[in-house]
Amino acid sequence: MSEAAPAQGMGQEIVVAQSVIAPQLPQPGSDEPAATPSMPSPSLPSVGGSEATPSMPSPSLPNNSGSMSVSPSLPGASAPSVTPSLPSNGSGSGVNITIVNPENLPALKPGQTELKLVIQPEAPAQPMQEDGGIGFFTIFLALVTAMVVAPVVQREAGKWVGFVNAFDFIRKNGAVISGYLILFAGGWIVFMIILPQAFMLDFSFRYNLPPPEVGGPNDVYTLKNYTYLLFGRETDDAWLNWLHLEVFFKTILASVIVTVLNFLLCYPLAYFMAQSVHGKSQRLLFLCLLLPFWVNEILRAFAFKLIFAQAGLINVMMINIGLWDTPFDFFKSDVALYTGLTYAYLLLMIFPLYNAIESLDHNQIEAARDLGASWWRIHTRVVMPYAKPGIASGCTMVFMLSAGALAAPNILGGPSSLWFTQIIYQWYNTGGNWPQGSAYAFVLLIACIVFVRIMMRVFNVSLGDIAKR
Amino acid sequence: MSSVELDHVTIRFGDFTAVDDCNLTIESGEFFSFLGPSGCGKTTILRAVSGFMEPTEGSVRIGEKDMRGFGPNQRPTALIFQNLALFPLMTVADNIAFGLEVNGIKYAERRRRAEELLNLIALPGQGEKMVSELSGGQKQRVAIARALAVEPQVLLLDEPLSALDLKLRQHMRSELRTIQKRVGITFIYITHDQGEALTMSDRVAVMSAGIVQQVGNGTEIYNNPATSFVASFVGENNPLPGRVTKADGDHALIDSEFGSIRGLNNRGLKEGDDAVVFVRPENLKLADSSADTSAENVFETTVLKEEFEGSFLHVFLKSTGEKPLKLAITNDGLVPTFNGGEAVKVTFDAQKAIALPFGEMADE
Repeated sequence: MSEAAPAQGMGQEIVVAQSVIAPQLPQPGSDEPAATPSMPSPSLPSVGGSEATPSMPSPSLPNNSGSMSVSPSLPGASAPSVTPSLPSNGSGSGVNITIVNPENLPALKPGQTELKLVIQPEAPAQPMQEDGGIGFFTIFLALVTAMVVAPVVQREAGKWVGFVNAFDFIRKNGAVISGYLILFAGGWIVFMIILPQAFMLDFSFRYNLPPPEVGGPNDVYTLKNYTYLLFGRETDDAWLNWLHLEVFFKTILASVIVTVLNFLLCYPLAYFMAQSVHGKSQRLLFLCLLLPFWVNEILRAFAFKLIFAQAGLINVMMINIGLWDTPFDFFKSDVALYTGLTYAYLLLMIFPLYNAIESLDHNQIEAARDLGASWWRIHTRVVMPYAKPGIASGCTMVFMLSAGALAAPNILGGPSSLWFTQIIYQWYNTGGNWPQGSAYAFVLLIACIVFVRIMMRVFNVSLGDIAKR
Repeated sequence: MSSVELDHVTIRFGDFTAVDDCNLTIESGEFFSFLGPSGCGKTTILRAVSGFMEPTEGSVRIGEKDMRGFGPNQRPTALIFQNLALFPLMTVADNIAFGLEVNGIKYAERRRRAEELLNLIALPGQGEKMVSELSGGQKQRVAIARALAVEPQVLLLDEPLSALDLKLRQHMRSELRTIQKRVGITFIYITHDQGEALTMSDRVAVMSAGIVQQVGNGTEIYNNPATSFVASFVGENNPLPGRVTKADGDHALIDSEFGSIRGLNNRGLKEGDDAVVFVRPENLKLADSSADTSAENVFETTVLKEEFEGSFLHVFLKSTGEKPLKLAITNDGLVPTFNGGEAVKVTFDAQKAIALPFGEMADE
């Protein structure tokens, strides 16, 4: 046990202290359960460093065609726990291992007591243009970063005054409060937003490997998860992955429709509440708007389901009145879905609109009216231009959240309609393919951001305007 | 060109009567002002004329046409708001041409009209500026141009100068008057500033508590006020309250704490009426120390303080009420000085004192 493995430079053969190669694993002292290779674990990133190894390796394995990696680990770290499982044959004499790929040989030092062997039974048909993948990845990342960061950098460039103001900020607020603010705001952003997203982004460019292979030679970057959305499996007949693409574009389009519906519904209401009613009736209106949202979202969705059902409230009423004879299928026609989604994000549209319109000087409306403007003109020429930041803010929020909605499409969607988030959910959950799910999620996120930025450009709104509301 | 007729206009908000039975005819092409303290109902009248509000009773006629049921966008009026209410997101030219734009006038024609009006308000070639780039006086003029662009028959102005500083305000007064003369339409001007009302207007209506107290030109209102409110609100006046002991011909003799005083009786005071005699500070004179205080219009009082104002020396004298009497001496270079507590005798000409029925006073 105290014997060291002979140092490197032995050519194709090295002798490893026998005690190190435990034939039956998992090791008794290992704190992590052995994961089966076929099942990816949700905690993928942490799997790479664990000692969990598949149960098949035996001293005779080197003859196998599988590749093998040898990595040294700290002397004495887990040696005592291995001892009981020493094989009886050739005690203390060492085992000969043939390394197939000598370039991968790590430096072994005298005194090293342990070597970890990771044997990959079957490598995927890899390394699928490994270099090309990384190149693509770099370009893609650069593009995404440029797209998101460029406008900000453009605006902030040369504003070094802002940097100096950071010190001013500390001087103004005192060390304790500014420390608190910086620490918690920064901590929140880094740990709750940036890091998880960065991990997900990293995921999305990797193969869905069994845990033991994570961190191994096959754990390389790939665009496979992204190309899958476009082209599907290589074995598929169709050139493009129509099924998923269709759902993707339908989701974007439906979210646009929900946003427009929401705006049409909320604008008159917000205008009324901001400019026409005051005091008690205004508070009452707000309460009427807010109270239903104390009810859980799922519950509200199910309530809609009841209302729209074949024997639901509307169908029963309409049949009794005689407006139609046979029950109308609100789910198949997506009426229920659009209604549910529109209602779910009503407040996120109303409040930015209300805030924007509320600050408009009522005299401007009267002035426009006095100069002969019709109501339509007053709204298109005076109120809406003024409320544009609020409109943009509300529309962005409703669009983003609609595109990312899961509960409402699940409950209210028709049998044939699928929301893109549902596919993402399937990848994560039933499919057990986190990298694929991450890639899909990122495609959705980027698509939404791009779409919103385009709309902002079209309507000439800046990000700062939106943040104000 | 249209006259504006207010026919028994009464406007109520619940129990509160903002305008009480207002009867007025504003002539075509006239510069007419409503003058009164805040809350007197003058803005309410303006809103009734512009159409933002319908009178509870009575009717508003513009050019002999009853305006009931016509909205502000259908009336031949244009309103200039107190805060101007220019559209901040439009250029100056777009602001001016807004009324034309919403009435479907073509772009080229709109530009031509806007440029014309910019010339009228002495801001030629500044149409592409944003409103925020203009100074206060320039904004004022743009607001006027925007209102004039729709070629209204009546222009309504709701204290449009109140936000400006004194110098600019005085300058804009004459400018407004010039513009009105040039375009020749009816201007209805709302203000609480009597200087503005008197200098600009052809006629002024003084209002208090929803009631039109007096209508007349500046001289009439200043020299011959109809009520104690007008007398105390327009210009400075010293009230000397008392009771009428004799009303003969043009004059009324009033028994007051200042002794027996005589003033012009233009408003039909009778014996036994409660009355107030108003004497303007410039009409109060210092009498000789030998003057007989038992005679009419002579009384003795003490000096409280004096204030030197360049062309005038103001002497404040002890009165019966809280407010001191004010006496103005024109500075001819020989004005005497007074010490506080000094006893003086004061007199005034009965022809320059006005006896009015006792009533509401303006609290300045």
